[in-house]
This record gives sequence, C-alpha cells and structure tokens, in this order.
Amino acid sequence: MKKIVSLTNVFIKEYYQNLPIFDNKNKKFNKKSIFYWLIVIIFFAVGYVSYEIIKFLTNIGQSEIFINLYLPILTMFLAFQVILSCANVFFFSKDTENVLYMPINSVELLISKFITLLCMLYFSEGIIAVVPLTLYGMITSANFVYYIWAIVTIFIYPIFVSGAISILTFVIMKFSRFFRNKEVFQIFMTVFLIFTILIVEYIMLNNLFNIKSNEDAFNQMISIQDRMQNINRMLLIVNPTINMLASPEKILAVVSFLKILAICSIEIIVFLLVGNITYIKYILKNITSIERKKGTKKIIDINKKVKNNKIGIAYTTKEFKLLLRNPSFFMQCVFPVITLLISCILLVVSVYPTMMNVMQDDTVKKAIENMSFNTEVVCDILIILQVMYSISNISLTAISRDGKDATLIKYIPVSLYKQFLYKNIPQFMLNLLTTIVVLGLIWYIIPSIKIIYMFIIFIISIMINLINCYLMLIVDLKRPNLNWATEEAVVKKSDNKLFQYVLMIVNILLLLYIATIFKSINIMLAMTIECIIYTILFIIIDRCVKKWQYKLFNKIQ
Amino acid sequence: MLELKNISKSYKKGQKVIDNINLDIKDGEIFGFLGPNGAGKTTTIKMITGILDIDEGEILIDKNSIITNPIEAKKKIGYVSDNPDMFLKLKGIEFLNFIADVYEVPETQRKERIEKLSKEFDIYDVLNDKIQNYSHGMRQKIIIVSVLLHNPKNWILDEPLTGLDPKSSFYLKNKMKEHARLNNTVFFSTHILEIAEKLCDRIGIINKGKLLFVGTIEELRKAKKENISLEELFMEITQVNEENS
Repeated sequence: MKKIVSLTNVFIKEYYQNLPIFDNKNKKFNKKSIFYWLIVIIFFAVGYVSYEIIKFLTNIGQSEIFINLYLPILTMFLAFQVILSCANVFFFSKDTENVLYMPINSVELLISKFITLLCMLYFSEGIIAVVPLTLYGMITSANFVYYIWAIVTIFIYPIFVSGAISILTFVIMKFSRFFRNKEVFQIFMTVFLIFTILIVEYIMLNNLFNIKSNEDAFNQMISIQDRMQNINRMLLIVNPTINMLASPEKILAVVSFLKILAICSIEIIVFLLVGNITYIKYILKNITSIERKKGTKKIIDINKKVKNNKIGIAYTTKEFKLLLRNPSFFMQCVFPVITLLISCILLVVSVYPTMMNVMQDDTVKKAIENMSFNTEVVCDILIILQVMYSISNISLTAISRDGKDATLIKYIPVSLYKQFLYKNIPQFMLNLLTTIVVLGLIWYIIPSIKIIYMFIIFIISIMINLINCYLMLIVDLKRPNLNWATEEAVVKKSDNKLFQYVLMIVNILLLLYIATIFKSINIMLAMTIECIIYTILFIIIDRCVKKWQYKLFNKIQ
Repeated sequence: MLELKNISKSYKKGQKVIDNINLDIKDGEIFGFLGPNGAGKTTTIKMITGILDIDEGEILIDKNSIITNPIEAKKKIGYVSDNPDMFLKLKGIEFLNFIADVYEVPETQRKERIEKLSKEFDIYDVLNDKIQNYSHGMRQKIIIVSVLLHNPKNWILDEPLTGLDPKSSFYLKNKMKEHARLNNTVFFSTHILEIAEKLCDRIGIINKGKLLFVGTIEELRKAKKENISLEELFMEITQVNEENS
C-alpha cells in the first residue's frame, strides 16, 4: 500500500507540475498563464449556462431534463479526456520507464497509474461538474441527501469512465502493433474525435431546429428526454446516477447506488485482470519498441526520392511536413481551425435551409436575401475573419516549434527575410482557406451579393491575413520558446497568445471605427479606402521586417 | 580559409565570454579547437557560422565577411552542431534533400553523393525512416552526411566525433584528412586530446574566452620546454590561466 501511495504521489506531482496553470517555481497558480484565465472563464461560463438552463427548466416543471442531459454530456467529456490521456498515462509517459527497474509489482503500478488518471478527471470535474450539480441542488431546493449522492457521483463517475476506456485501450494495444506508435495513436484519436464531435453536433443541431412551434418544442423536449434515456442505457451507470440524483430520498436511489458500486467493482476487477495480462506482460516488456519504431529496412530508390526543388519550395515543404507530422503541433495549430470550418459548413449547409423553411414569415427570408450591402456589413465580415485568424498558432509558434533546430535558420545561406516569408506561408495558406470558406458560406446565405464586393473583401482579407501572419511571427521571434522538453510546452508554456488577442481586439476596434466613419459614403469608395489602409499598413510592416531582419532574429542563438 | 580578427563577445555588459581572439586558419589545414567546458569554443563556432552576433571584430570566410556578406560566407561553410537531434519528424532522405536544395546541389551530383556518403556512414538502409527513429550516433551521421553533401570548402565541426561508432569515426577522420589534402579547411572542437594530437596540423587552446595558445603540438612542447603528453600540457596551460584570473 505504501508503495502505491508513493508511486501515485510521484506520478501525480509529475502531471500537475507540467500543467501550464501552475508556476514551476513556487507551485502556486500562475496567474500570468493564459490557461489559468481560460479555466476561470470556463468555470464561470459553465456555472452561468447551467444556472440559466436549470432555472428555465424548473420554471416549466421539467428540472429533471437537466440531469438527463447533463450526465451524458459529462460522460462524453470525461470519455474524451480519458481517450486522449489514457494511452499517455499507461504507455507513453516517460515516468513509467523510470520506475520499471524498481521492485514494484504489476498491480501496484497499474493501480498507481489508474489513480493518476482519475486525478486528472477529478481536476476536470472541479471545473465543469461541481458547480452545475450544486446549482441544481440549490435551485430545485434539494435536501442534504441529494448532495451526498452528488459527491458520490463526482467520485464514482471517473472510475467508471476511466476503467472502461483503459480496458479497451489495453486490448487495442495488445492486438494492434499499429497503435504502439504514440503518433499514430494520437492521429487516429484526433480524427476519431473530430468525427464523433461533428456527428454529435450535427444530430443535436438537427434536433434543435426541428422545433416548429411552442407546442412542438414541448413535445420535442419530452422526446429528447426519452431518446436520451435510451442512449443512456448503453452507458450503464448514467441512468442509475440519474435515479440517484433525481430521486435522492427514494429507495430507488440506494438501489441505483448499489448497482453503480457493483458495476464499478466488476469493472475494476476486469481492469486489473486485463491489465495484468496485457499491460505488464506484453507492453512493458516492449516499452522501448513503443517509442522507437523498428527500422523496416525499406531500401530506397535514390533516383525516385531525390528531387531538385527551389529553395522557397523546399523550405515551405519542410515547414508543412514538420507542422503536420507532429500530432501535438497539428492539434495546437491546425486542428481547431479545421474543426471550426467543418462545423461552420455543417451548420450553414444543414441547418440554414431547415431554419429558412421553419420561418413562416417571408419577410425575414427576403430581408436576408436582399440585405443592403454597406460598409458595416463589410466590416462585420472582416471582423469574423479576424477572429478566425486569431485561432490558429502557426505563425505564433513558427520559430518556437523548431526548438533547438532553430539555429539552422542562422547558418544556412538563405536570407533571414526570405526565411521570414517562408515561415509565414503555412499560416497564410490556412487563413486563406478560412477566408474562402467564410466568403463561400456568406455567398451561399446571401447569393445576391455582387461579385465585385466579394472580390474586394477577399483582397482586404488577404492584407489582414498578411498583417496577422507577420505580426505573430515577429512576436515569436522576439519571445521565442526554444528550450522546450515536450512539444506540448511550445504553446502551453508561452504567453505569446495574449499578443494575438491584443492584435485581434485592436483590429476589430479599427474595423468598427472604419465602419462608423465611412458609414455615409459610397460602399465601393469605402472598401477601396479600407483596402488602401491595410495595404499601406502591410507595406510598412514588411519594410520594417526587411530593414531589421538581423535584429529580429537575434534571439536565435 | 578562416580569419578571425579581434573577436569579442559578451552576453552581459562588462563580462566578455570571448576576449579579443585572433586566428587564421589556412587552406589545407586541420585546426583543433580545445578547451574545458564553458571555455568559449561553441560561442566562437557560433560566431563563425553566423548563429551569434559579433560584438567586436570581424570574421572572414574565404574573404567573405560573415557580417556584411553573410549569404556568400555561409555558402562556403559546412557546419555540424553539437546537437544532432535535428528535424526529427523528417525522414533521413527528406532532410538530405532539403539541405541539398538550400545549398543548391545539382540533382545528379546529390544523388551520387547521398548514395556514396550514406553507404560509407552505414545509414543508407535507414534513409527512408524518420530521424526520430535513429539512434544518437545515426543522427550524428546524418548531420555529417548533410554537411559533406554540398561539399563546402570550410568544415566547421562542433564535437563531431562524439557518439560515433569506431567505423564511422574512422571514416570521418579520413574524410577530414582528405578534405584538408584537397586544400580545404577543417576547423573542429573536441574534448578528446588524443584525436587532436593525431589529426590536427595546429591546435588552439581557449579558456575563459581567451585564446591561450595557437600552434602545432611540437611548438607547444618547445614553448613549455617539456616532453610531456598533450593532456598534461593542456592541464598546465589551462590551470595557469585559472590561477592568473
């Protein structure tokens, strides 16, 4: 038992010390970290949204719907977290190797790892579960028994979720050599999660916009509740937990609790049995082969593989390869934008026609179709684009991602200015894709827009895109994070994102100001002036970069 | 040919890490740069290659200043850094191709050289694997191959033999000799004094940013009037420097 406690202590400390919200030096919350504030915002946002929903449902006498909807969402959230963390904790974390030579038996190691995983989930629950469940109790005037069951729920939920997914992961790892490579595993999980999120989003949105009248809305809620209960049956402990929380004082709550306890106990026994067979005997034995793929000795054909490229193409290709082949960089820099774009396309293409059909009043339809296209609308579109440009971190981490390799920039015979341009290409391309998608969707919604307007917006957006790329790369050059130990630290241990938000706010304010002062003049003239303003701004920044290129790169040593 | 004229560098004001170094490395010469840890070897090398700015002085590479004509100067350098963990997500062949593109090596020449060099250094079979799957020694080898690939006139190597297996170490030493024989320059830093003794035409000993000695090992022995090993001479010189400072 002592060994388990000590081992768990080490694993947990290792995990929490690496969290970007803590200060490495004094182990307190790092209030300078953007992630600290992000968690604070999520904490309050979840609390506020839950409060509003519970209040609304309580007013119409349907407060139980909240528990019916919230618990599966919590299960899904925890499941996603376990999917992403489980393999890392059990198979890919470096601390495992450090304790393997110690006299620790397999069960002790398994339990310690499992508790570490649980602690990660308890931390998440602290942010997203404690407040909603407490608020539910307060608003529905539940007595103290409810709070006991709520604590039990918070404690027991992660056990069920991590147990189930860990067993599945052990089995997958045992039978598929394919997944033993950390990167392949992470890429697979990323794609899997994208599709799952999109499908869930699609179903939920379709359900939401199928409501045709007030009466339908009520029936819809009842039917959603029925459907949710059917789905929840598959998740084994969700329905018993709902019973526990919805009827805390009834005997049903105790029966449900015993049911949950039995399910979790069986699950832990299975976890230990499967873990003992697969994790220890098969995986730990080959721990070095997990990280180092055995050379398959594919003899290469030099004539086919070696090609001549221009420096610009070679450099840009290298940038793309390093960005896309690294799951961590892909997740931090590209994934959020791609997900957002796919969500927008789905939202507009699937929901917008349904919404238009639902709208009985033709005047709304006509108003959208014949919307007067003025400077304000142009600025609004550009604001949307500016916000979307601020999501990705490609240029913001272009130097930091190289880490110690960044010195290459200084000793290869390619001018620093040219390298500055090449390093910006991936971000520029992604922003360009964003622009095309957003403008395409706007054209889909308002087909009456003149093509010349779209063209000028496109040109202005290119200028804004370039300014964003340039400024973010300058930020990374002046504040690079080159001495990272893990790729995750490139974004997590850097505060540079703040500069991106500042740029976003400044540009939004500028666009709003432009919208106000050019309100009364001809739209073509206004757009041309806007285009000239951004072009001049870009040229000034570009000249500055060219002039001070050596100073800009002097942090790379 | 490398010329270092009155080179100084400080990271903090008033604390020089490189103090007025003058050095001429002629064509056809293998020059060994020796010094204890933190002496300033890597800083000097980084200044020669353009990675670090120079506070005072001038560095010429085949008469091209690294400050005023950096692109031309860099074209004449092949640099092996002390960190072989580079571009781990690229395949070996992709990395070599990238370097060949950057240094504009013609296609036929690069095919020949990649094949020849990678076979010599025993990494031909793994060229299609990502560098992250290579061992430390193999990573070191691919960096060395990438430098030899564009056949620069001046080789600047920071601890090039660390981590190499005996066979590759032997090949590299032969390559260095061959390169110098063809009237080119090899400048390398090392901790292994035996290698310096056997390989170098001249050596430079640096400690605390000051160049304490430049010359042949024989000249060093004559100066010290002692017939002792390089290791003992090295200890003597660096210790005297420590005591004086």
